[in-house]
Amino acid sequence: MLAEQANCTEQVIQTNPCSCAQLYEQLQQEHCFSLPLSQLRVVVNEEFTTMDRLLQEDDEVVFIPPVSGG
Amino acid sequence: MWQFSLTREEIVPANLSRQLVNYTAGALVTFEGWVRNHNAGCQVTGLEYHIYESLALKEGQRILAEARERFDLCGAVACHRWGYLALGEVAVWVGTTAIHRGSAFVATRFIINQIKNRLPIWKKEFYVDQPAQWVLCCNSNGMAQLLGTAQSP
Repeated sequence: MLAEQANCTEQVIQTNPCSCAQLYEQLQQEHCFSLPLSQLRVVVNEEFTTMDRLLQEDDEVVFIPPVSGG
Repeated sequence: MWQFSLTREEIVPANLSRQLVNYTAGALVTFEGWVRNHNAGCQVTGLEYHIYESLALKEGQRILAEARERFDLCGAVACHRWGYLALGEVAVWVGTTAIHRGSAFVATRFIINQIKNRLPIWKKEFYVDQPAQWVLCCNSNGMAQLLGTAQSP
């Protein structure tokens, strides 16, 4: 659903050093995401992590909305 | 046999349960999740599952590994479908085998609950008379909440 709102499935970003939470806030402003940070989980380089994790160069970050499999 | 998989193709339960055949097992317990024609008072025409494939595969394999640790099982197979599904189609299949039925019952329930809570898969519902919507994770009552109007496919 974030991909639909951003109209893209992935994005390469150059940013100042920041946390996952700060990155989401930037993206939320850019794409008008409707989901608040509190409803998301975050995955960095295919492992779940915390929103306060500081990002490194070339990290792959995926924000995970509430899931609904099954 | 211990196997978690993801597929865009039709799930054929007989093919999956055949993988669990094991002469030490006295019980096979399976669960099938079907696409139904209603949710939260709306008439549903179909579902579309979106998936984060690499992570979903890892997480599914972790769930089966946890089930193997926790329960006295002979084997476990689970498969989740993604893409567009029509009414009545099988969206998810779970089967476990055990020497006695008790372990297989609880393990199958554990695996489907973990799949619904943890797997990075998202469901968009299509309706007879309103725009499609994303559906949030089911709560403890098994009732899904609607997340908001989705864009047209």
